Amino acid sequence: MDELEYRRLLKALPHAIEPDRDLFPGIAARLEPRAAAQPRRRGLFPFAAAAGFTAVAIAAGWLALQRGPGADVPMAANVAASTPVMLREARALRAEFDAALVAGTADQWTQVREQADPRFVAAWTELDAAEAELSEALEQDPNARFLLNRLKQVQEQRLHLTRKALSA
Amino acid sequence: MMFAINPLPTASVSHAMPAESADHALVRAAADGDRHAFERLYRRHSARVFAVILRLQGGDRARAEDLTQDAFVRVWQKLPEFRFESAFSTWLHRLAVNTALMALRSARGEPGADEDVSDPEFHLADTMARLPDLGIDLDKVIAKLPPRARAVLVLHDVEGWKHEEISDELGMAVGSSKAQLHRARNLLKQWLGGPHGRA
Repeated sequence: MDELEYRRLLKALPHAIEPDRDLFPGIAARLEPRAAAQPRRRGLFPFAAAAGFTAVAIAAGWLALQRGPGADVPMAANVAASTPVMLREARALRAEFDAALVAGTADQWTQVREQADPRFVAAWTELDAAEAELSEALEQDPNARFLLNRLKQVQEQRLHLTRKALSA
Repeated sequence: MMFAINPLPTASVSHAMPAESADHALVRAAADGDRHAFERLYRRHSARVFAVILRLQGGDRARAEDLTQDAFVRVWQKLPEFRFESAFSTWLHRLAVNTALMALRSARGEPGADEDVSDPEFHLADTMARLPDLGIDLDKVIAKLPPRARAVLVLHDVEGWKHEEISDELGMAVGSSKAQLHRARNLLKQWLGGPHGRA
């Protein structure tokens, strides 16, 4: 076998291989609590804070596109004037989500997550991640309507899931 | 109740920085005790970690699974030490490699002295006699290398490490790392191109 063939075989090796089973439950069982855990200063609920942040991020990305390079207009001044209808709709949905969370308490929310069906928790985890990734994608491509529609779907799913959990 | 989540569109996110920013945000939350953020980190990186550990462990999947779990437990413990000066994936990768190599050292019972490249395990005739027909499967052939030679080859040729980094990690001289790599490559090429592999 020559060097070229060896390099070709090397290049074809997969750099990611899935284990045969989900290893995280075994990992989670061994995670020790943080020695001096600080309460997170992210607002009453982490999802609400993240949702609010991503709303700003989406608006910022959208505004950057609207303004173009070289413009020097304060963000807030432009928001209402230039935010497209679909973005306003997404933000209204997020505001509804935040209101649903605020209706509970921090302790209640923590308890809900700790005692919830693992499938709820898994779904929350996935929805959190989905919203984060969609928001990142929208930052890069704010005109992508399909991304915004998908973001709205994820937010609706989170709102539905959260209401069910809080009312349980 | 199961919540079906459709796959996300994969278009648009093509920049390296957003993924790193997402990792750093998750690291901050996990370092603060957020296990859900840590799980998210696990989901993002476990396949990559498992792959390198599996190769270093010579294809032993059960052992690689155990060590992958060990690696992520160490990550949780050490997360507060992460300085955000590099990509989290790089830091994680090195910690995973270190976990796998520590296990190899424990299994061999030796403190990390340089492996003699004239070790009988390198003798082609003996090795070929033990070798089943491995076809052209490079992973299977790599798995048959002696542990330290396999480690050097995996880290250098598969993972892209420099000899200085490998020598630090394996506790050997740079010259020894280069010699191990040279011998390992020759062995692989002979196995793959010889009578037990496709010519």
